[in-house]
Amino acid sequence: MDISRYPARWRRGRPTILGHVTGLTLAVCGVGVAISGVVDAIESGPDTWSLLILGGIEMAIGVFLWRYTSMPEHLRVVDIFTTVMLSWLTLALAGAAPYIVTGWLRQPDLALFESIAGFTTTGATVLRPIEGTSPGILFWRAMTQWIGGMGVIVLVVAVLPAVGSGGMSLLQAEAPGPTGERLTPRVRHTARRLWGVYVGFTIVLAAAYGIAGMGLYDAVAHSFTTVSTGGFSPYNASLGHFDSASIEWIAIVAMLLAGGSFTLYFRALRGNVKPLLRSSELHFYLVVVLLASTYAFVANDASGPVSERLRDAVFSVAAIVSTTGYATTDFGLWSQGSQAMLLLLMPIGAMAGSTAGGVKLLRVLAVASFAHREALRQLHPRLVRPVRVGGAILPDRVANRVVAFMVLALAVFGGGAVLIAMTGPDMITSFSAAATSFGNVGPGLGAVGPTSDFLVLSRFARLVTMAQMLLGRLEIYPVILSLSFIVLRPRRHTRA
Amino acid sequence: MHVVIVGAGEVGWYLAQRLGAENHDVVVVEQNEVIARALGDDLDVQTIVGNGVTPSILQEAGVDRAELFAGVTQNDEVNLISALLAKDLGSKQTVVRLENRELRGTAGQHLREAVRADLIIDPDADTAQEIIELVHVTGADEVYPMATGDVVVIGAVVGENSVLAGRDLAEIGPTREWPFIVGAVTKEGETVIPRGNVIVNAGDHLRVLTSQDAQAETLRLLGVEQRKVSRVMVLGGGAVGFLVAHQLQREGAEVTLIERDHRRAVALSERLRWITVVEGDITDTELLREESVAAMDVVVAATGEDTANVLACAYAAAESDAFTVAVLHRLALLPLVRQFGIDAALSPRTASANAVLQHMRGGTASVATFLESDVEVDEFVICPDCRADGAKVSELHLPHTLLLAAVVRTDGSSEIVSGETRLYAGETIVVFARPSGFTEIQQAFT
Repeated sequence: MDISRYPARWRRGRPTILGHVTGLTLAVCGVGVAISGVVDAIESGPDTWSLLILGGIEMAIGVFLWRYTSMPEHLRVVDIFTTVMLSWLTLALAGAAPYIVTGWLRQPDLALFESIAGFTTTGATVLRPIEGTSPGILFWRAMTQWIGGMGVIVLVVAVLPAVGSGGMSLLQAEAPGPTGERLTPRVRHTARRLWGVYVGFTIVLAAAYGIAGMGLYDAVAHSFTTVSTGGFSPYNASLGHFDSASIEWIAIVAMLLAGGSFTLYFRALRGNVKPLLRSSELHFYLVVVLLASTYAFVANDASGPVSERLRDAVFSVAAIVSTTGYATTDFGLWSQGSQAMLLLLMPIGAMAGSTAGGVKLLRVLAVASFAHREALRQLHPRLVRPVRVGGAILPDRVANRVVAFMVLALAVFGGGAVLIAMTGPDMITSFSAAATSFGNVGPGLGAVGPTSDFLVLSRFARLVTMAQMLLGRLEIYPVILSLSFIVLRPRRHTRA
Repeated sequence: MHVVIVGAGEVGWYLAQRLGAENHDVVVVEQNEVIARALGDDLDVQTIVGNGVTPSILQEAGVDRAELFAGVTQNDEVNLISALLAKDLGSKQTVVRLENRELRGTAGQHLREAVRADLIIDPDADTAQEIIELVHVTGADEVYPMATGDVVVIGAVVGENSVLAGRDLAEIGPTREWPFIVGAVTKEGETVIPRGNVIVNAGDHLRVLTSQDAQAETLRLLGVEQRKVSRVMVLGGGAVGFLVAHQLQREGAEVTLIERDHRRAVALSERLRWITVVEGDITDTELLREESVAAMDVVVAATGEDTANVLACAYAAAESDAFTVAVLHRLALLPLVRQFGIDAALSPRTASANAVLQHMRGGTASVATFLESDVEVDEFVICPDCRADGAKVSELHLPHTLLLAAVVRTDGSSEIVSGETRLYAGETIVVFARPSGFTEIQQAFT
């Protein structure tokens, strides 16, 4: 990377990507908190000043860190993963501060849970009751999901002028899905385009919600949490609060769209619609949604008008598959088959390159193709066959990584579920809590169902789910790699 | 006629041989001195050692007075550039061998127009097409659909239980009972165009002309077993193997493709999604057994190595009932092939050479030449006011070196010819002939 091309002011300070990126992350977080303060003032809430002051402090520290460090000339792999991880830990802590300062969640671990559930777009909550909390804090909740949806690192890369060759690795370490791809020759422009599509989508959706009858505050807050597939709502009854068919149908479409690939959207907006329409992952996604909705509709013959039951079925499936986690009906009362289906869908998630959580359908397709190949290889020992997703070929290197990821995902999901179960809850509760956390969905089944919250879990179980949320959002590798660097590095030094 | 050929590979060599035999003046430009000398020793043609894209070399070869120029090296770029130069230097007609499929499509249209080639040939694609025709008519060893009408020429060995065995060809006229006409008979390596009084025995090789509809019936009468093609093994993933595997798979067959080179195998597996690509040596009998060669309906060996193709096909023929097809580059091996139990063999050179010959002969609609003999099948359109217009076949007094087999009427219907058949201008005739009889045909019909 050629630093000398940039103005002199970027070249001063201690060259460390850790401080530089983490500082900017903190500053972004501070801006968000301050905006929440402003919103609080507009809605005449009680927390205006505390939010404004806290936001100011976070911004100051962040800007200080950012301005008095600089990008190093060469980025090491170690730095990239550690930076992503550290930025997210910073976000979690800085995001928890408003809850503690304003006093709505006094226990630090609860505040941290709410913050992580926000930034990872999970949408599980420990805030009880939700209604009555100050408008500023509720807006901050929505804001955390919005920042976490497209990814703070993507935002930072979009802003940083001096991120060169390492930028793509940074993006890939954070972006959901196995194939981070460049849309433009410069990574910074790629990051900007992604955020551009994201912001545009948010504005359009907020307008749609507004037209369907929401107030400005509700429209923006729900738009934030829909586009990011987060699922926080300022109301106890979630989106069901409005009891409006048009709002729910808008949300269904928006959730499904948010579960699609933003890179493909960007291309489509530029006029290149083919990759989107021909994406076999998209076809698979639509088939999954269609089949699951049909089954949910048929298997639950509750009372009520057909249109409402149909809407509830499609809404719940869309909310789970897109990992948004809104609820308009208590699917905890559905038939066992339907609940089992939702449990399966939770950790899978939607399309790669979307804001959804989970392992992504792309990886499911890739692993299916991989398994198919290995089965064929039993018949033809010297078979040569690539792993495919639809028509596209995954290089063996990528395919192997995907399989390894799926094994890790299974370990994180299963291991987490067992740990939660050890603290006491029944099996459905434990497994669904693990699935919903790792998949960044929000509500689970059983005791953590859509009408309940995560306060029913013990403190230890909540810590497990928090770890699972982060592992799910950052797709495991950055977390375990940075941890292994931190653990292994000192040992290597002492040995040397 | 003065002909310049650039490239003395398989196609160039064969073309030089064919055209030289027809008393044309042939000059071959070849870069490899050893090959050029061998060609000059073998055939009555002039050879020039040099690069085909050098204007001075082309001039030395006499392209300025050439009726036909053929760029048939294995290198598309050389063929294109030399053809362009030849055209600029004054050659009347140019033929370009072009293997890049994209350049043959719409994307290469401007390039082709710029080069002004009169004919573009692709030996591999032509060979693949011939193999596919064979597979469609399993049991026959040669299948040539004629350009007009629904007439097809089929070559096959008369089976043990054929009703034809032991009969005199004079008995076999084109009636409803016999919906075909025998155009050539090969007995013990000797090929004749029959004019009655030839006894057909089992094991003789016949070339018959029939209609598409009567094809199955004809094969039945010849005692040839046909089978449904559902499992195909293609050995060798070169251009020919790729095209054959791809086409047969698209027609619904289950295809296994064996390729020795790892990188080529990977590339094939990426392009041929629904085909089982296996890496390995095709003469490795263990591998062939592993891939259940015994259960195959058709085995096609299309590597660049004749010996491997023959060995693999011989093994497949011994292990299974499969219809086996081998691609052979050296024509001398052909007579041996049937002894190994191989059902059909063909060479990349003939298919493309046919196209060039057809082009050269202007009025001819289509030409099929056979590998083992110097008999060919030609199609002609009868010109107005020629000798044949309005005449009966028996009145034409055609020489024994040719046989008038079928006529395609102007309404598209086809008819097998007898002595009483009347011919009219505008109709197309199909003729079995020796190349030396070519002038006679032209006198009578054009």
